[in-house]
Amino acid sequence: MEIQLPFINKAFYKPTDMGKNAAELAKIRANYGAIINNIAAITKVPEKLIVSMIFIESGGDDNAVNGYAIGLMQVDYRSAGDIIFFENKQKRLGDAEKTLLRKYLSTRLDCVLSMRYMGDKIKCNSYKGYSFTKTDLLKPELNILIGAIYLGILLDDHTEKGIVRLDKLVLRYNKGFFTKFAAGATKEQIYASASTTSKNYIAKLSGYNSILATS
Amino acid sequence: MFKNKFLVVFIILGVCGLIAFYLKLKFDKDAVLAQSNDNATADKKENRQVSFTINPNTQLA
Repeated sequence: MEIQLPFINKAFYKPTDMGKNAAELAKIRANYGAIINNIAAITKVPEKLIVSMIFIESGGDDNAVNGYAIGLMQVDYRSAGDIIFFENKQKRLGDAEKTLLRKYLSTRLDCVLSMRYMGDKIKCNSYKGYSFTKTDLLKPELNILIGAIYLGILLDDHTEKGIVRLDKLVLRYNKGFFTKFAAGATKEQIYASASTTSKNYIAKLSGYNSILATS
Repeated sequence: MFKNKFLVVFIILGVCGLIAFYLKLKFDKDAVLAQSNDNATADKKENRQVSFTINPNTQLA
């Protein structure tokens, strides 16, 4: 699959922003580069995409909290378990990923893997439908792992004729797994019908002077 | 009397609307899940290779 940049003929950042953005990206790599490289290898998600999403979502602040969205990749702690459940159900969760999840979740990983469907309210998650806490997702390695696994699902789900639909990828990352797009919608149509916030997300990641191109 | 009939019709339409809305949400979610079940397969992850093509004019806009 191929990521084409610029993907859309829009710009969020000015050319003069690129130097500052490059410095911020370098800072993210300096702080979390070893973790990101390992997770990129085990999830098979490009390191550049992970770094770019960290930049866009939190600016590299591992304590960033916005409502339910937590940490470096602004992972929703209510849906983190659903991502892991789905990846495992699809037989995509590898041993290295399971080992890393076990390191942070211990026996709670078994609870996530025993769900029958997303949001399953069972005894081991106290009938809440989720097992992760805010505190879990403030841990950079766990946060990046779950964000990267989610990105991997979206890469496979939104590659059309070999080209990654970055518009769909970034909107679904931001708005949730069950975000639906009109059948056959072009990137221009999706951009035109998106909210200002969503347009900014698309342009930040994949427009001219984008973070993904800078990274 | 007229007011009561109007109220009953209003309530019935409201309930039907809520049911239709719930069913639309449910069908939309099922459709997204079915699509992901088909696309996010183990072999796709295993064989995933991502290449980047960056237009050299990227910085000029």
